[in-house]
Amino acid sequence: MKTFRFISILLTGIFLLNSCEKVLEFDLSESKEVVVIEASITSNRGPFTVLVSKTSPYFGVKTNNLVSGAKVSVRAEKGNPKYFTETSPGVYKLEKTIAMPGYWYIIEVECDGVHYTARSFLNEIVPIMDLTISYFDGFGFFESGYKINCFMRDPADKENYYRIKYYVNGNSVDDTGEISLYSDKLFGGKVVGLGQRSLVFSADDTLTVELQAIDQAAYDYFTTLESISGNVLEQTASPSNPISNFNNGALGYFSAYSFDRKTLILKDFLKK
Amino acid sequence: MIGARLIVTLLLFVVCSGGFAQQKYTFSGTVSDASSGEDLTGAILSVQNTNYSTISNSYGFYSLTVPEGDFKLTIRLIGYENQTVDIKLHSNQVGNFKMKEISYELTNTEIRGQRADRNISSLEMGSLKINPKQTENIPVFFGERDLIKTLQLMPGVKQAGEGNAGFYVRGGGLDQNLILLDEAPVYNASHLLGFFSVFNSEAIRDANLLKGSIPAEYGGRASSVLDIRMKEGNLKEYQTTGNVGLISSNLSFEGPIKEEVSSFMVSGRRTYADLFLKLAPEKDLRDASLYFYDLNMKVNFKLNETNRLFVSGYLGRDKFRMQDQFGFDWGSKTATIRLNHTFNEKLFANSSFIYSDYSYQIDIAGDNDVLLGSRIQDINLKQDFSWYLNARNTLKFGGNLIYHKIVPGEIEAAPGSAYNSLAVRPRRAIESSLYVANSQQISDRLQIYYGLRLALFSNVGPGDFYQFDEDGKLIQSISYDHFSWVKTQGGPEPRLALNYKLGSQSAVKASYNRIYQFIHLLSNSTSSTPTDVWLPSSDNVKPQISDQWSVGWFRNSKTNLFETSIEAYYKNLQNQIDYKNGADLIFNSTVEAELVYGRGWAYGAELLVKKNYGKLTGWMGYTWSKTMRQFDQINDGNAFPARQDRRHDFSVVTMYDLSRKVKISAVWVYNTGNAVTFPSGKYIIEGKPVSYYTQRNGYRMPDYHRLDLGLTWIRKQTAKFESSWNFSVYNAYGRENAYFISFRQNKENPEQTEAVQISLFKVIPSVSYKFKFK
Repeated sequence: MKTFRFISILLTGIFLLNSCEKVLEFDLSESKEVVVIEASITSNRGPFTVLVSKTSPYFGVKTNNLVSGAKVSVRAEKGNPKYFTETSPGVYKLEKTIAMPGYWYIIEVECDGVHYTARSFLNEIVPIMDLTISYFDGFGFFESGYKINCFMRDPADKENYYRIKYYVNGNSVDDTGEISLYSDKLFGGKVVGLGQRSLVFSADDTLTVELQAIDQAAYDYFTTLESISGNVLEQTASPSNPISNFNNGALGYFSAYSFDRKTLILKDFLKK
Repeated sequence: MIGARLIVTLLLFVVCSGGFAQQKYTFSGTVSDASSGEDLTGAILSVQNTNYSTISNSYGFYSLTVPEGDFKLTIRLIGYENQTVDIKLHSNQVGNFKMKEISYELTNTEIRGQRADRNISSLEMGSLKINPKQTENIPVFFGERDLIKTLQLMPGVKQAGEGNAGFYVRGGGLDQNLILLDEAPVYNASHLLGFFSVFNSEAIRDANLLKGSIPAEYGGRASSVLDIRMKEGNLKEYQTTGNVGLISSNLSFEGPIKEEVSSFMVSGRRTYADLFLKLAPEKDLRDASLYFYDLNMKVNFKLNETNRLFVSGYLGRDKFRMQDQFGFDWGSKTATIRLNHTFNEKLFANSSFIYSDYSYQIDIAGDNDVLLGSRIQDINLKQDFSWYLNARNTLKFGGNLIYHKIVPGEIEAAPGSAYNSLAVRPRRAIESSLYVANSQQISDRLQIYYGLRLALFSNVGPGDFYQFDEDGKLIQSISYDHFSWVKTQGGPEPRLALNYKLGSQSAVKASYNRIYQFIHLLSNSTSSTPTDVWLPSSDNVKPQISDQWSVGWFRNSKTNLFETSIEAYYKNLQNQIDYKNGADLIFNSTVEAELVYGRGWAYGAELLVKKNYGKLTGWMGYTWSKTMRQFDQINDGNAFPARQDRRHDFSVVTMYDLSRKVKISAVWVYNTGNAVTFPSGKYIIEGKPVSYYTQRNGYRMPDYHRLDLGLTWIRKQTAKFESSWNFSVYNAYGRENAYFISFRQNKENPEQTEAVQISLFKVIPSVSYKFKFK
């Protein structure tokens, strides 16, 4: 629950205003390499990209341990597989393809003789009805700035999950580690405005809001990912790897999603 | 029921074992403080040159049956002058004793050889008694004296986190401590996210933590009992006490309603941390409020020679408000009505009606106009009897009936709000118990305690009860009506203890307990938070069961100047609860489906050396312990250390009287790090490094150590007025202890990942002023 997290950060934050930080030297035990697959397809025209990599030592220099030579394909539940081509080491692309909402999609990745597969349901687009802007004065160590409310109507009679991505001047915003995820558990079937927790925007920004309709597996993956990588105060006491929809022990996710985008120039909007 | 039959058998055995020897008579009455008239618990009454002795109970009542004759009776209690009286016992007699507190002069002269030796003569083991008065000079945190923080300096008790009032006892969880305030359970004993406990020291008479042998009258939590009693109020004169500190102040008022017959006590405390916010540069901070308050009240009436009535209550709340945007408040209410009745010189009864309530509420204004909350309520009836059967047997028996109502979550959306209203089905249950126990003096050296408690827990309607398959998928939901019984669980809990005296100065003790715990705290943070959810046992949730075996060696030397004890324990915990990764614990009607079950075990040894009197007093404690958990679904089914697992724990507490007016104190703690989960690798998702975890709690936090210093300066001390200043420094040498360790990208060089330690409190000085007038 976002509200709870927000409040607990706020309260603990008051005590942390006085805290201090120090970089530690640690010996961490090394683990064997595990395959990581990051795959998504959308209802918009491609290209679809799949990244295949492996884990590396935590304090190692090499950050990207990409894996070449994997065999990657995707298909609708009853359709024929389409094969990805490796465009650079570890990066697999599928051009000129459209995925249709309302179907299950299945991805298959073969890597070092091990077969990994995952499925994801592609939901219909949920359109953005309106964007509103308000100014937030800041509180404790929450920064001041503009907050966006993204209004949409939640389709009734089923469980829906959303993720909002923000792009400022064309670049994805993720430096706070905040992942904007929403489940309609508390607002099922209603018109609702979805906002940010700690993210703020400046008046000079040209902002693109992307409302993704994701499936439950993707929601579970990203909420558990955020619980170990987001704001440190929100992190769980017993961190564990995010819930992946891949089998055979692969890390990562496969998400089929549809999205709607709206762009606004904050300056122009504020003049109105 | 096997349990019920056992209880009856036990009862018959005890009754029949009464003696047939020479004529005996009973001497009974109460022990109280001479100046305030308050009852004194734990006073030892013994007949000189014999083995006959007894201890006054928590209402000051005692009863001693001895052979007819003339003898000398000695009454002893730490902090009080010994009393010896001549008794001519040729019929049953009543004797009420008033004990005088030891004055400063006496403390520092040599009056040894007569001190209380409860440590040796009682059956208690693994029990820690705290009297706020005896520890009032130890250094404090932010100017607030806190008895839970004092307990955390004792062996076997571990603090939940820097500055935190939560505690772990002998490898048990945070929710496995039964915290009672005048018998009422307190579900959330902390303020301000755990930095302060809800117990205002000014309102507390004494606190007793039972971590080893737990008598049969207590039950319901797997690891320990913290029994806290409020002051009863001075029966003789009015008294006002106040404390002004940096972040909070308290004021207490007590006195007789009718002298020697009835009295009252009222104590209030409020923090004013929010006043500092007013100085903040940001307008929003200035408009915010954040405070907590506590109110304790108690009245007691001696209705007549045989009846006494106590009414007490507690009300405490934390309030947080940010302009009119949102508010968040949480807190507890408890109320206790007790009637003591003395049937005769041998039979003492206590009947209690207890109410306890914990709730939190969040309101959010604006587009999302909504009210969220949760509540847990208990109504509790308790009946206890103490039967001082004969010189060798003291029988205790009774029962307890608790009605629990838990509302795990409720959302009330205003019309037009973007949210929907939602109510997570309330859970209702009845927890019942019956117990009987006897402490028996077998020989001059051997004393044994044997008891049995039958603990049962029944889920009751109205409400929906769910069934799940193995994967946690809902199979069916069944609706139950009012007063329908759904499921009953529980069983007999044997409680055994023995004390074998090795002489007048030392004893060995052993004990075994079994305890069922039926309500469980679900939390995925390191300390307790206001929004933690309590979940009752049901079809889907088995009760936790703990079995603890302990042995100990106790020795008092130099005529009780030093108390030394070494204790060892092994604890086995069944049906421990954890949850699946990503579990949604709040506002979830089917939260049972998110849980996983496993087992736990803990063992350790504790050493405690205490110096009881003289200019220098204090104690030194050391604990070696190991605490493990095992769940099939966690850590690939391999056993892993629990979060509170900590190998070495050391503390020294010293108080020294420099002069009559100046007292200094120092506390030093050292412990090796708690178990913690760190990454064993990393990988990239969406362009950012993500930690890769391979084992639960496989690493250790850095060692923790800290020195606190305190100075109390008594400015004035007359019969009418007393005042003193207290200066404390928390973490005097500014050790940067790790509050948590964060693994993240280096800010300058995002290609690199690093481990960063975040420390919470460096040196924290504080000052407080205390006054008292009569």
